[in-house]
Amino acid sequence: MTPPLLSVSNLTVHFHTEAGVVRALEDISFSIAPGEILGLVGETGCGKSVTASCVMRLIPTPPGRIVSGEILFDGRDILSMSDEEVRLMRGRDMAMIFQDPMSSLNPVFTTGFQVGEAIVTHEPSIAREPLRARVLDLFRKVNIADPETSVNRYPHMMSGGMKQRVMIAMALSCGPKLLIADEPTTALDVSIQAQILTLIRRLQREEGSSVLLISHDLGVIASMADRVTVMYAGSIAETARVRDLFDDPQHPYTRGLLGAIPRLDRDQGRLAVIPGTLPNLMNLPQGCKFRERCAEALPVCAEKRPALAEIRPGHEAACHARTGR
Amino acid sequence: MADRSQGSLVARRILRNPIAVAGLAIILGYLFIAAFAPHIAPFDPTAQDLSRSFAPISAGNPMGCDEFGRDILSRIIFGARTSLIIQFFSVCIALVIGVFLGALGGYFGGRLDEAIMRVMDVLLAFPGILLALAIVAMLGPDLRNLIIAIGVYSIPQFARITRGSVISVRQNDYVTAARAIGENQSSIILRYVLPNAISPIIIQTTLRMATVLLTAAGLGFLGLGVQPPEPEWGTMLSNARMYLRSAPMVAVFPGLSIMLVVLGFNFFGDGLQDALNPRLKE
Repeated sequence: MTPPLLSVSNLTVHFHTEAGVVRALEDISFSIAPGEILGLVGETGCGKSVTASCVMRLIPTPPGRIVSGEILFDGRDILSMSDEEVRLMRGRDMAMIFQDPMSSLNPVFTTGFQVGEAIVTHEPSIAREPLRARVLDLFRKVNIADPETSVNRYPHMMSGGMKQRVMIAMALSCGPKLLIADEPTTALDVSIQAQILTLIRRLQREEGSSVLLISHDLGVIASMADRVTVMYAGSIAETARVRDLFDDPQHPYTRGLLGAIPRLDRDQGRLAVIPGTLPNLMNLPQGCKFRERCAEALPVCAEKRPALAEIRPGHEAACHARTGR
Repeated sequence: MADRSQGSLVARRILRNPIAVAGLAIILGYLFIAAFAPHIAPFDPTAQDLSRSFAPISAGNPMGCDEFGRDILSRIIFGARTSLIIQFFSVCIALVIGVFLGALGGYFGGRLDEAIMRVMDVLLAFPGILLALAIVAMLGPDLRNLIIAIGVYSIPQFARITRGSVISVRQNDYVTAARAIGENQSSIILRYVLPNAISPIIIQTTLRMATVLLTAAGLGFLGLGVQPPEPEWGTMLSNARMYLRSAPMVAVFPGLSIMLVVLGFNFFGDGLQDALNPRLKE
């Protein structure tokens, strides 16, 4: 097996706020192989975006604090790099697409200039003409109509879908090995969503880069990802290949999520809901974080937090009821 | 909106506001007079003719003469030049230093911000004119020191406004996006943060031009500004004070000039504020 491109192990991140310590991430471990799309799902506030920010080292410290853990990217430890090394790595080796294309572009420069800027940052000696050619090429690659005109447009002259394409062009400008897409389609309407996802998929195949796709939409994950990691309240509940996860979910939380999806192919009456609410990240219960909402809770669940354990090759879940311990 | 740029949009909004247009007209007239003073002024502003002291308003001297028989109109015209020099350079000093400090504090935050803003608080704790007075008294009264004094006392205003604006712009997604493509700190500040934080700074600059002129005139009036015989409106006003009962017109024209120019900058500044306010979309 080839070594993973990105491997995060035992990452724990706290945010120190005035109200107390928020345990945003607890003992997160996952990895992404070269050329793989890993989906990261979970509800709002479960730590998906914090995970992505940690990988890019974009979380503000303070108030954030990486308590423990290791992030290895291409064999290098990101958390021990100098600020300058991290800066040079961003955009060149790994790039990010943000959730809201409306606010992710600088309103005072043209979109073409901004994509060019992303290239110039990493290749300061590039001449004007090759730079222009590359920007036009990128605009073409992400299917922006009429690239010659579009490069001279300001962000406010473009639609959300177009802006997201510009963001993708910017992210791809230096051929990154890892692309982090943080809910890239949440802010777009459904017809544009499909186009953007198809685009990301196509470019991922062409460039052979890995993608960390963050979403709360299981449909998006099912159609895009090779493997899925399900997060709950700052921990990983389950990691599996897409088919395995949807066909045979192990963790009660994953089952609950899948049960809550409306289906067109059968009449199911009322949708299933997961009872209860998310635990407070400032005051987490002892034992399993999902215990209070779980129908299968065992006595041990109140005492010990379950660790991620392999249930079958390539399928891990953090649940006492599954691992039988 | 189509392909119209921000600049032409702002210009259109200003031109539609009569008060702002009036302000702009006053400012342009003032700039013109200051720039072409030697060509416009009928007399040498420092040439004395004691036989004509306190000469009344006439065709030759449209504003009359002062106690030494100098033509007041010529002195007002050359005074515009002095005032403009003071305004321009002192606001420049305040703008450059204030924006630099404010952007640094606002962007990096933490201890650096604390340190910068506490120094600014100390400067703000002095009543403005008193601070300028102290600086001039220390350095000695002349044009250069007047500019330094007024510039220094205007720094905190620019620092505070820049800091506030930078803090709100810093939180935008495009700043995070800039970090995510590997931009370094200085280009993030210069290309992403400052251009988006500039509106309140522009407005402050315009309004500050008015305040600075008043301060300069005030210091001139107290005898700490530009020294006679150089024509300066505040100094002229101060000299005319002695003859207020016998020759009131000598005080009226410098006073009116100060008022008019201050009004012009304030009108224009207010208009600019409305035009640059993004919530006033058409």
